[in-house]
Amino acid sequence: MREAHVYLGVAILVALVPLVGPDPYTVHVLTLCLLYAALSSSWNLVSGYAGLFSFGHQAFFGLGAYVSALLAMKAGVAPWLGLVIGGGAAGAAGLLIALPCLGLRAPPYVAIATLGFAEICRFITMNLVGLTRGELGLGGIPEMPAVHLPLFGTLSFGARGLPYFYLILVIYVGVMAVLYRLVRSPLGLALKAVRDSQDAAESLGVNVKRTKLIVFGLSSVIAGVTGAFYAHYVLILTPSSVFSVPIMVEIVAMTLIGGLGTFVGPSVGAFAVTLLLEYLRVLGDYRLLIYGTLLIVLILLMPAGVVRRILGQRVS
Amino acid sequence: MAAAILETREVSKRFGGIKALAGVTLSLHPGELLGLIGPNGAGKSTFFNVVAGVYRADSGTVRFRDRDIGSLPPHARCQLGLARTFQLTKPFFSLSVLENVTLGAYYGRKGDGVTLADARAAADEVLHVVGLSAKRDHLASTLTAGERKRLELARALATKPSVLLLDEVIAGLSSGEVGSMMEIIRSLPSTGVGILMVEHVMRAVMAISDRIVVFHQGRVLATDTPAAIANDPEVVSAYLGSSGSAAARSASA
Repeated sequence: MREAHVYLGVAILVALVPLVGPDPYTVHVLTLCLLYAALSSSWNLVSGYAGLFSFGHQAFFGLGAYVSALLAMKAGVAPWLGLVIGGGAAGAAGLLIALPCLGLRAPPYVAIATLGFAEICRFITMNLVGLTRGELGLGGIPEMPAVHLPLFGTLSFGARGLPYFYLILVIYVGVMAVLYRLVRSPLGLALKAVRDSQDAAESLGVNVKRTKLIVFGLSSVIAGVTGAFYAHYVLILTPSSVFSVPIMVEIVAMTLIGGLGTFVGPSVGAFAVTLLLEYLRVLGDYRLLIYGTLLIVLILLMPAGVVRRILGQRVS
Repeated sequence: MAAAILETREVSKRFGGIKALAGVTLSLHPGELLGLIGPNGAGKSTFFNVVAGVYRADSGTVRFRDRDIGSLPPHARCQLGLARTFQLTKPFFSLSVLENVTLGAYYGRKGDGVTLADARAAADEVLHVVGLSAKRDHLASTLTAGERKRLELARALATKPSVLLLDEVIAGLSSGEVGSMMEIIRSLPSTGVGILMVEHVMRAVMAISDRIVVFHQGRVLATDTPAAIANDPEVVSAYLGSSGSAAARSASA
């Protein structure tokens, strides 16, 4: 359990950051870091541990975001409940898309099937103008309502306020706690076995279809919750901001840089990429050029990711 | 003889225009070591895959402990007690040797209320049986070809099978490894497990099998003791395409 204590210590340190220098911009960047860390970790569960190379994770992020935003705007559903329903809707969609993918054994087919699903989601959202206003986007999404906590008093979120940082931190720690237990459970062992050889796993008693459904569903729920959080944080949604391929590319970049199939890799990658992209803004138009070059160099130098480079090849 | 633990009746399987199995009937008893031989393309692998659940038979029945298992998926058959190895070994490369075997010990006995710790302890015992204890914490990707064959066997044994299907676990081993693998296999039936082994190394399969089944063109050509099979002219001609005693000589050598 010592490893778990280290992670908990890091989480507490991150929680203390805003107390040191509560500069709103820094807090905003850290909020994005944690959001991407949770999102990338959920993708890593499917692609890194189970070896199902999904290229449509943005679909579940976007579904969570739109479901929660629309429920809050059209039906007055509290965003707190929206986080749950958004996650549930994304999870249901995840199961739906996992079913046809179960029989696909080659990674490229899974990638194309999931990408296709995400694009379908994007086009539907773009064309349901009456409901979503299409590419004009949804504006005026309600903020998270204030909460009354026994020790802290009333937390009102306001526009991109500090409480959002703590909320995403709680979500992130919850996600990582679930993943930590899962990876070390028998199911975690089965996931890695399925990744290495489905035939062998099946022959040794692993219900491969059920295993894939569980991780796909869980991973989609997490993406949906982060999406719902995102909606009530940025308060504006367009189909291309949440359903488009660039989000998927960022998730892949973060996970690969940190270390595919490692527990902390996606988090490390999420912080590295998000901080890099934000603080390279000073470079103006050269930003993406430098960012792209850095990505290539990093992947060439550490093909197995930063975490394995530091902690050894066998870390998982 | 005790009742058969595994019984197939008139099992047929075709792939397009090719009839891979044309009505195979055979039975395996507890504690029996049944060798399955035959020329390439005789249907041995197809038969294995039908019994293990990878393929479904077009017709005929597969009964395991008096139960028709013909429609069960491979993982369910394994959990009932029917384990197999793969001719082309399929280790979980990124897992340690112990984890490879633990997976079989846990999921292969899913119904028995086994915990992960129980499974690990059982895996350690099996590693000892196959002589891989020293490699326990090594990644499976670092094993030699011979060690991978033993890992295949260990994982299958860890599921505590009552029927074990061995797909060429001896072929490809060095001459020193052949002896120890034969010894391991020969020691297994005393625990009551019935073994069906496909093997190309005649010397080995003839030496340790109780009975030999000869496949030819998707059918059972002969079933008898190793000594009788080695002198069966029909078997010899199936292998050599003419009557001769070369096969018999090499088999008894």
